[in-house]
Amino acid sequence: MDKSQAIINFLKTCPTIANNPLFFNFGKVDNNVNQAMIKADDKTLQKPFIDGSVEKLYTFNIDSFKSASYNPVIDNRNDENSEDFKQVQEVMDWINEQGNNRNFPNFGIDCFIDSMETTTEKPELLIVDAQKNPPTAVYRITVKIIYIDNSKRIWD
Amino acid sequence: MGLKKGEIKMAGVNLNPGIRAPRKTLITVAEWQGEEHDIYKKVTGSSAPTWEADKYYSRNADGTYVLTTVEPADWSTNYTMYYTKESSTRYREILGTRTEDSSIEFNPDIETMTDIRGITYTDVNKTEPQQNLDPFYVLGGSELSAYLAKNALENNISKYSNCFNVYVITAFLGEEGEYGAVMHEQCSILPTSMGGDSYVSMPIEIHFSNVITKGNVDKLSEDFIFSPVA
Repeated sequence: MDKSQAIINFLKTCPTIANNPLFFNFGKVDNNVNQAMIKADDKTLQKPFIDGSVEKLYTFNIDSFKSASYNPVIDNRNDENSEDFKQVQEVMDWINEQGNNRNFPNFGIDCFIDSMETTTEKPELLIVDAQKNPPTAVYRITVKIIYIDNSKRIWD
Repeated sequence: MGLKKGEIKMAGVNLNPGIRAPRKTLITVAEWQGEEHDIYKKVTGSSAPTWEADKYYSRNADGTYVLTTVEPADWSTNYTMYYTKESSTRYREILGTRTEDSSIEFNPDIETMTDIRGITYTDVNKTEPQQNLDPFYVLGGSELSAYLAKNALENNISKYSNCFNVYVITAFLGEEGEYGAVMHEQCSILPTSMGGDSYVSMPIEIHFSNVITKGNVDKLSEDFIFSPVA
């Protein structure tokens, strides 16, 4: 089972992401674009068990691109930057809710997903590209999935 | 070409001369009697049996079984991926799920004597084999952890004293379909503690009886058939 495709299929069910473009690893940088990026997981962090199964990690980032506003926060007026941040937080909250409800991506019959969660409580502001017009803020969510790979388990 | 000496081929594991036996080829299985329950057996045979509705099950990644109501498109080629169901009072469970390290300690009782010639004699009087599993997590779907947890908390000592058969399957010995195994009758499996940090762990000790029957098992799954040998 292609785990990356499983992640993409899973993210497309997120209401906030579904209404906006989703790219994989590389894409067009534009307002409200989301980009899922895989990370390399260190094999030394794997835990082999005596029955042949192995506990493994699958981590990936979701970068959300939002146009940044230079307007200050004024009472009784919506702040664009704050509203954009809330949208990204919605994605993070949705992922953690799915993890709590054990609604996981489908990694196939040989993989049992133990847990899925974001590594932080709120998104990280990676960078603001002020050279773009309008300026673009990049928020990052890192997701960690722990799963048991039973493909080499000797017991059926 | 036949198998070379020391070469075993089974379930994707090869043991050629000089290759270390993977830890997973030493398997401990607990067996006990309890209330009647459903057990699932893999479909076997050299060719696919005739499909019957509401008879065959498929297994999910989480270990649950789902009744297959419509003949699968891959039935003729993948029939061995399906299961039939029957009732039994026998429970079996492999030991070591989510355990990273565990060994069978033979605990020999030895006496040594050195005579005036400087020769040392070693008498092995007995062994008291034991295997510890730590951690041993209480897992969803694990009948053994549920059984031990309940009886430990209720202090039903008789429910885990001398009432298990324990199989030690040496999958590195033998051929596919005939793996070497010994069965110890009247073993005790006792929880030594319960708790932990994030998840409930219940470390256990398996005390083997040395009431041994030598034999073979035909497959590496809970529905194996144990055939004693002389």
